[in-house]
Amino acid sequence: MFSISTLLDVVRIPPSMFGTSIKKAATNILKDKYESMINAELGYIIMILDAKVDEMGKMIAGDGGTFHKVEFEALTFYPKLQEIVQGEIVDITDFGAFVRIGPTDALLHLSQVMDDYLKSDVKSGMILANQSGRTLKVGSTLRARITAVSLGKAAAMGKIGITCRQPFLGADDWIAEEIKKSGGGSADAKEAKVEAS
Amino acid sequence: MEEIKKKQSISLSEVKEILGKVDVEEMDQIQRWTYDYVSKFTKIDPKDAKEMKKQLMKDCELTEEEAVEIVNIRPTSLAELRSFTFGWKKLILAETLEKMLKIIKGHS
Repeated sequence: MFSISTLLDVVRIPPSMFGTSIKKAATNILKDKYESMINAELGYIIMILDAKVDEMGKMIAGDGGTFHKVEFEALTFYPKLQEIVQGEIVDITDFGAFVRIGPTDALLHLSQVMDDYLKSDVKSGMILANQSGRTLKVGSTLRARITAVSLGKAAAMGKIGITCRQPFLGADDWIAEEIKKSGGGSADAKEAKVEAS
Repeated sequence: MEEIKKKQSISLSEVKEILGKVDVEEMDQIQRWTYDYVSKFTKIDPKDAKEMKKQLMKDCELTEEEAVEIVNIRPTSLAELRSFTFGWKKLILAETLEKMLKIIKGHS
């Protein structure tokens, strides 16, 4: 899920940046420090949006720079466990598919695609289901649930696992089929059915 | 190291609105991936999304995160909605689910 996080930090403005405005200098330093970073608490830090810099800084003996308190906003993405996400397949492998779910890719393991016998054809970039004849290919959009998240130090880019083996998950056309099967499902449709009978 | 003061969940259309203000040429890889992703999956305008989020939080007593999840996916049937809310691990009355569906329909 995407969030706007308000964070507090202290930035060191080097003497070489004393000529530029303090806000601009601090924003550039924060961008270099945080953008494209993965944090266990915040998730993926996508962009620094705004920074309020305390104009009164501190100096430390032996250091030419000034240290300023700064409160800033960042656009972040944290893959929450059990969250439903939409995604697009970007790669097919022997063991499943990689699905882009925002600033990162998640693994949809072959065993989590659907309740069927599956075959992965890496050459043609396709996953085929033997019984139902359903297919998944690069570029297909789908809906999935996040089942595993690892954003620790061990995983440089983070590791996310997703599943489509639950009702109303999977490729868009499978969901449309399922909704049709469940009779529209909406309250209005059910009321209409009751009235008709 | 930073200290987190506040965290506010936002919907895909709000993310698109934020990233839309930045020149695509100046974006790094993660920003571009995110922009492509939100452009592909955003179906309502940010104003509508904000209003829908507020309404879901107020009328259905959902948390901000839950409301954003619904705004992003916008399920169209009761069974679909029930299967989504299953992951929240809290009891939601059928009346509340129907209220949620009405709000979703009102904004589509």
